[in-house]
Amino acid sequence: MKFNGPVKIIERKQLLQDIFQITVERPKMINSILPGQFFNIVTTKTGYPLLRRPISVSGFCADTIEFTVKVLGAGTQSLSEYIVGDFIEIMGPLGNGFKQGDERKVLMVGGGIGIAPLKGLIEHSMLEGIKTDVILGFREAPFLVEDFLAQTSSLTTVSEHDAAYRVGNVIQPFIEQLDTNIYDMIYACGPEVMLKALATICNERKLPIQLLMEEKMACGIGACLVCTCKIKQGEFGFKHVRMCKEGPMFYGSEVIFDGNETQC
Amino acid sequence: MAMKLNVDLNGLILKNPVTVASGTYGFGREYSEFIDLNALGAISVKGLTLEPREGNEGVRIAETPMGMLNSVGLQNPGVYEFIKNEIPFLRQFDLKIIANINGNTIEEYCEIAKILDMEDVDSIELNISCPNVKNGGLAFGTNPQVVREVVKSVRAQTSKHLIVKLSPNVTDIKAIAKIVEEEGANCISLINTVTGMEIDIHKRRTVLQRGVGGLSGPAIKPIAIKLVYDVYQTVKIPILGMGGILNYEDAVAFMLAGASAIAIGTGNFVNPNAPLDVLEGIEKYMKTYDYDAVSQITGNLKK
Repeated sequence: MKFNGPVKIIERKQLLQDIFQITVERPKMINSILPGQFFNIVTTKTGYPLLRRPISVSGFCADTIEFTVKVLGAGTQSLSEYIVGDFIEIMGPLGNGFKQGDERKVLMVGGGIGIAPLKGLIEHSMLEGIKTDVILGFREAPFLVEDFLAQTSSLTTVSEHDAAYRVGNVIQPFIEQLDTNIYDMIYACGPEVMLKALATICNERKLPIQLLMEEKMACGIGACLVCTCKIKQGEFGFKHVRMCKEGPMFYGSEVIFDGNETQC
Repeated sequence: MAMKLNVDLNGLILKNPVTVASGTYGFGREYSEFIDLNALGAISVKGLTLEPREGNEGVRIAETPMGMLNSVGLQNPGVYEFIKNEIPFLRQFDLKIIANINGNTIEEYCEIAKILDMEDVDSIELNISCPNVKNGGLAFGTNPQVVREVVKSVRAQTSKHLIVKLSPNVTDIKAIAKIVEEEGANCISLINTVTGMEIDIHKRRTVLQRGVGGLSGPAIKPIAIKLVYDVYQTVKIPILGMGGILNYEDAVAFMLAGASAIAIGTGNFVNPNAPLDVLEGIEKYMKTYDYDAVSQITGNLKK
């Protein structure tokens, strides 16, 4: 059986006005968590909004699980109102996270709240000894940057609107890094438009890239089929696979982006 | 004295009245990692078609006030894959298997019923109320003449226990229920989802790529209870009631309105343990109000 039940919040931090981080006690029965996996979380004590919210882990250790969340709607808003000592209902870990093998040098590219699961990845012990370059992109003010700085000496931070940082998006620095380095694997998470652009570049250069994708979900475990990812099958075919079950990690070479990519 | 939890849906005996609704539970595999499927009275499996289907493109879900719209479009592996892989999986558990079937034409409904007639399923649920496909589905379930034709034709193909799943998107559900009973269905399940639409005012587009979807969840519960009540007044065959059930109070309300058994759908997404919680609650309710058998609750409304 997989875990489904209440866990206690032991720490809560407000990172920016609309971004917060909660750390919960890790239930003993959860043996394994992989970076990029998520939990489906009840966000409210009142029953509204109805559905759980799928939230990626941004960090974990033997005793704790950490989530970094951006307030985007009613669910994340009510989740933001929980305080230390409260219990929240979580189920998981769910989905396929990032795949790690014998990479020696990797690049991570995160955009907006999409940097949260990359934090979990870079902190994960399996990355010890792996040379990791990081590019983080933000609309406005950055967050979690110190957590990445603790793990890498090669960090590029860009912001679309904050002139204290390199202004722009992640694409230009991404191309620069690819032109001057050889990476065994690229990991990316962020807005769909960003993932599509990165995947296109990697596909042209025949470079492997793992995209941690996102979709609105209901059950979160693969039963209801409302979250899908369109992937290539055969030479011209496609199939709809479940974002929550077969994903949320897909390789850039297998995803078919449909042209209606969301911006956030 | 031990309370009797089993119910007889006119030839389909369930060990308890708690089932899970088609399209919300896949073939049980995923939920088996969170709940003991042996606790279920029955599972109605994901809607089956003759051939595998990839379902609808683009956004398939929109959360709404106390509910959700879905536009999955009958994505499923096809009836043959179901027979080969899913029936053996489900047979490991002590529960009844209800095969929910769909077609583009009456011939397709008949073909799939004929195939399943020879397979190890306990019941066939004729879905003439799916709002998310172009042909078949709702188009069949809203026209009384077509309902008669499709139920009669499918009935002729199978001696299995036959459930017909009704749509709430009709003017007179009693007339449709009557026809379903006349044509030999053993049981009626209702309601399927209520058609609905959400609009993103910033994009000035419908949220669902297909525009229309099926509304489920507590938002539709009063609609469902009223329709169960209407159908219970009209037909003698038993009713499998559903529509927004989250807890035992909801389940008992459906039974008092006339349902012999109930199905949990969207409620599973909120609480994977809902079937167990609901069953436990029903037992407590029976104890409190001195019911010996769960079947005594059905239609037991005071005047």
